[in-house]
Amino acid sequence: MSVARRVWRLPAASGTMRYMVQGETRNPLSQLRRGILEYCVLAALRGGARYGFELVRALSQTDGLVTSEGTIYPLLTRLRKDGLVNTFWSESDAGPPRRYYELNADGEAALTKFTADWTRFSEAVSRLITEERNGTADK
Amino acid sequence: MAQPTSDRIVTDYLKRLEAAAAPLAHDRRKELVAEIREHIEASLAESGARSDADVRNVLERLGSPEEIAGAAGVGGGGSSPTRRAGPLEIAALLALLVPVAGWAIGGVLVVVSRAWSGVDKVVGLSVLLVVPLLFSIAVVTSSADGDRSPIVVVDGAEQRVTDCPEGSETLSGCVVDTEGGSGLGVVEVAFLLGGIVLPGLVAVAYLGWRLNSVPSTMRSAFV
Repeated sequence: MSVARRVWRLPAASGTMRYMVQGETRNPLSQLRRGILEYCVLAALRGGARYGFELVRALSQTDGLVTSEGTIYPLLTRLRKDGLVNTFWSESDAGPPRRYYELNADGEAALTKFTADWTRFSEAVSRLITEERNGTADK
Repeated sequence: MAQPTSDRIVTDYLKRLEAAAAPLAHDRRKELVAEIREHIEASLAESGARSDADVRNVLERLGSPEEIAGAAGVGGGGSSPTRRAGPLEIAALLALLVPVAGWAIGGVLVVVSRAWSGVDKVVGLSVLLVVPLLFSIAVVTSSADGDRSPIVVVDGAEQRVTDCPEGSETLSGCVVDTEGGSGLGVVEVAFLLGGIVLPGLVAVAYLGWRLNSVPSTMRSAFV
């Protein structure tokens, strides 16, 4: 174990360990997921309007993206309140009317901006991790 | 038949969700529970099976009620928490602090707001009627020893209060300095102030508490 890694781990130890013991709600990755998920929902709406259940199905196809399907519903409500999606009701043969969500202009703009930010961010993180692993970081 | 048990599992789950979502605004909470219920039904309809195991699988994938409520903003909120105390609610509470005139405005705003349940609204607003009523009774009973209602001297003759001279009206009569000193005593004034000021304070305190209350079980989930 390199000195750099060991020193880094010490101050973070208590916080990290507590996060891992508490379960995934305190895992940094799950916090990241929560913030990213709404943009994934917006992206999923690019192909056209969808209703809640449909969206949840589509998103849970992607492995590891959705850990708790139920959280997508409050997320949709928040997107609606933030004005990034419009909703409308439509009759369905299978039962009660369904609420459909569709991307609006503000949502498109937010998604475009996020895509640029995310690409930059994820590339930087990947690069950093690869450098650490290959030992090319400054000692 | 496994059906009754599986239905009970779903009902229990939805009850837990309702409880976990208690801090949310009434309309929001009902909407969320309805959405989750529909999801469960659609899920089971899709797979065609309804055994206990199927139901448990669906609920597992949904996540815990606490997680779902957490995503809806319970317990400190997610990335963009939906604040329950919006400008409408703040305006309503401020209006209620203004005696009498503010109560009408505040009352309307409270009724219009979606942040309080029907019960909260009824209780909070009835305070505005009950407290003045109690104080009025107190004023009346405290002046029960002889008629101590203010006396107006009109044309040299003493008359009881009916028409007040301009500007001297109060809740229990006219405040006029008369010979004999039978005006409002300190006690009556105190009751008057209490009856005017206190209802608003109590209503605001109650409605404010209902707006922000978080069950103690939710607090322990967050370190």
